[in-house]
Amino acid sequence: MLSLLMEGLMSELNGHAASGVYGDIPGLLSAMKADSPRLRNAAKAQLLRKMPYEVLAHLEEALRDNGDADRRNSAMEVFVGFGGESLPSLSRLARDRDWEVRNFACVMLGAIGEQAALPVLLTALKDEEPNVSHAAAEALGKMGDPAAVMPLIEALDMSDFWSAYPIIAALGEIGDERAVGPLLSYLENELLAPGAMHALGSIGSTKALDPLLNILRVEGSPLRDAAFSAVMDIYKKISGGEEFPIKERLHGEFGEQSFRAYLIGLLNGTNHNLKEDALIIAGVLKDGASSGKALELLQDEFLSAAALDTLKEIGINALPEARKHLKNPSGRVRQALVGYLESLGEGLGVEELIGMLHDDMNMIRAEAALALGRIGAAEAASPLADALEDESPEVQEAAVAALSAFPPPLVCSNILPYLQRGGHPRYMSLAAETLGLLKAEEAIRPLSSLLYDPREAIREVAVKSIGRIGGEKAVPFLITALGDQSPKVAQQAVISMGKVKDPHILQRLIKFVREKDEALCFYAIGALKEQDSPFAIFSLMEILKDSPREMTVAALEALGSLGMKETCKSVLETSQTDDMELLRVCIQTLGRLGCEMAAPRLIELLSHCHWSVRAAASEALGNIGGEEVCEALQPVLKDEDGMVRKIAAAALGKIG
Amino acid sequence: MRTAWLGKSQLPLLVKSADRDEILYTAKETVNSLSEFEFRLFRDHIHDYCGIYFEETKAQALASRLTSRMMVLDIASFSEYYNYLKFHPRGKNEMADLIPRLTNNETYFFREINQLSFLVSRVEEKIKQGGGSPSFRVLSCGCSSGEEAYTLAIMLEEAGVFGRCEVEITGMDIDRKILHKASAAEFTPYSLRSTSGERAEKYFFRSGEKYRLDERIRKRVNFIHGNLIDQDVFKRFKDVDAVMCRNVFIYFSDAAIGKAALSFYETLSGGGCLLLGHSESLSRVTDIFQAERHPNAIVYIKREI
Repeated sequence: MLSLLMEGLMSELNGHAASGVYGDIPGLLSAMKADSPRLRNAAKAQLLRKMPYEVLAHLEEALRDNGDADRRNSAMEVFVGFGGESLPSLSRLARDRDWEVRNFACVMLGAIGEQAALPVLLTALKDEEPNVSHAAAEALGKMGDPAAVMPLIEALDMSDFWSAYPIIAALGEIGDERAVGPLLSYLENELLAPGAMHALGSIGSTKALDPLLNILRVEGSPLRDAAFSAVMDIYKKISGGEEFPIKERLHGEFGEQSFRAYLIGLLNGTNHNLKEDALIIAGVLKDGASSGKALELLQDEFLSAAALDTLKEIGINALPEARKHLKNPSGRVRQALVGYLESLGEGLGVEELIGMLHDDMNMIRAEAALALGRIGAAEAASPLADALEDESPEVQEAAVAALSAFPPPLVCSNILPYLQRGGHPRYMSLAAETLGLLKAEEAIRPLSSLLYDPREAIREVAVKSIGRIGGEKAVPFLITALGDQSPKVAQQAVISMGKVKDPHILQRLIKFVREKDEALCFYAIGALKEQDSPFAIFSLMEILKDSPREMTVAALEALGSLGMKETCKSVLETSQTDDMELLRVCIQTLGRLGCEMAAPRLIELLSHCHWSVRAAASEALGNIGGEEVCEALQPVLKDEDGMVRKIAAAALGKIG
Repeated sequence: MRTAWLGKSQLPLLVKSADRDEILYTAKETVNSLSEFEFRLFRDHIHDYCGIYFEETKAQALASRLTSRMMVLDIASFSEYYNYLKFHPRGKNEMADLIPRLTNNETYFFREINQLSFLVSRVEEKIKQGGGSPSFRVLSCGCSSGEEAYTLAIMLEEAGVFGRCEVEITGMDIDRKILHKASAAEFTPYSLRSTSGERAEKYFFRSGEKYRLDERIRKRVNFIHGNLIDQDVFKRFKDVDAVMCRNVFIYFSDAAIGKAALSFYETLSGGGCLLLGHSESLSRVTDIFQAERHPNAIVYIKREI
């Protein structure tokens, strides 16, 4: 299926084709140079839709066009886009007379990454033209095939600086341990040592640790930072542990003070990658002395996450420094501190978090509230109850969520006095909602007093919360709320009734449905679904006969979720409709019910004129199964609509 | 989903919806994935309603936006939510709540002002041309919280045109909630990130964490609710001098762009202009506008047909 947008682009391309600009392959290649990325992509897609044999000769011609680099780049993109189908051509071009063509061929083979190109690239690795061997080494690195390791090592032995560099990088990218020994021999080569260390880091073998630590130990060495990076890469790769007891090794090799000084130097430096690694190691070493610097780096957009992790790792040792930053002018820092304080858990950062409920920024007060909720420290309940009166809705809602995680008696003792005293409607609603979330039975009576509040919104939330708490005690209050003068409150009462399984409630709900009460029937259908009673199911089937569309759909959904096959006949009768949307819901319900008796009707609908009906019917038949169904689904595999075909195939797969 | 929490281990992270007033607390695993079939039903329904079109590659983005509404409504399946939109008595209201979540309402004062400077120069030209009582009508379509329309009002104030020309600026958006915000004219510091300190001082009053726009500027702009693909909405406007519709068409199908462009065309006076976002173009959809290049701005001029 082409989207409208693509159709638009295609018509633009076709328009140009009519004028002879873009229509043929050279024209499409030219279109790939257009300013519009959409047009470029459309042209490329057109080219890739053609048979490779039609296109490859043109691509080769463009590749040799030294006068038009854009055209050449477009050709390379298409070559790569054809993937494996380009391999024969590219393999030939990798042996071309023109070294530039050989060079580009290697680059493309690397981008395609097919293993079959390995012999060609290994030959190119020995090419007399350094640019070609360079490109071949890079391509082998991208390909990542370990079969290239030994030939690369062999080539490394015979190479000069220019060729050695990409080979070393490629060995790093392939990541094979056999390269460790040869790479170590380059640690004494001043020019190639940084690359070799990077490669050793990428391979991640502990065999390289001792030589790297030897370099790291040399104060003032220009290679020290590269060695540190490589050590950290190895550490990250093996995820620490016994294999590399990094704390003992680093402190052992350097002495604690000396290494700490080096670390602080890195944290004060300008290289972000090194800073990030230094933060990681400061966390691993639980180095409290680094906490000040980590706190500073919380302000850094790129390093704040790593700095926060470090503080969390350092734990309680960072708390004295962290306290100094609780009023830091940067919101980012204060926000991160909420995360740090939460990580300390109950009893350590709670006092500070409670203080942050008075921060200037809404978001920070909200996050502090949620953090306190997650910690669940008893002393936070009262300040969180106060936060329900915060001026920001964001904070109020966070306080509700936080309080709902506490033991109900603790919260009730803090909230009920406020509720009984009365107050701002927003606060009253939040308090009522919190009690509902807590499912605290003792809150039903105080909540019931809100059913007489003059404000509709408060009565509504009180009914909702009583429903959430549920149980026998809730029943009389929900029935009372049905008589509320506000339709919204009465509707909420019906919705809430769905949560309470009780014969009196069931009776009421059936009454609303039977009488097709205009205001409440729709909601009663949803509530009946929850009742799981034969009486409820019977009432839902009644609804299917001659009811407004929205009620019929609600009843169909309810019956579908109840999954009683006995209801199939009623649903099937309802499916005799001209209303296409209603028909789709019927089909989906029949599918959910899995009723075999619906198969003939669903098979008939496989040839419906609308894709959504055919798709729904195919999907539903997949749930029913059977030989006849399989046979009927076969022709749908050739449906004009791709998605219908896919659904039919999935249905057949499901049937097996 | 605002449902019962079972204890602190379940207390989820704060998830912010597109509307900053609404905070949802949710665990992400609660909803099944969006099937291709469901995607297509939603995509077509949304497109028919307002012209926003989701490519197949954006199915995941659509799913996450639908999910944020489903959590509020406590609906667990996409198919149930689709039926809710289609059949529920509150379905139409729900559609109005959903649509704003499908796009990015990102806007700020003094964003890409070259096009606005062009409009200021057009107003000045009109004044220079003389005539009885010059007037200039601007429609800011997809105005979101109003920053673009208000920026134009500030620039026109600075150019001193208000006493010399009857200027009418109207902002239009499909999202009623955002229009309330626009009318309230209270902004966060983020909205003023490209506003100079001098201008901030001159045109805004700090009120807690918010910046309230000077009443003189606020009164220069009116806001109305409207769906850009509903041609009836535009019937109330005639002889508009300029339509700004920046960074809206990026969400539309070509068919919907064509429909909106035609409404703009019929609303604009002869020679009236249409301003689109930098990455937007009409060239592949319609030729009823002529693109003109001005200093650092491309402007579409109504063609005489």
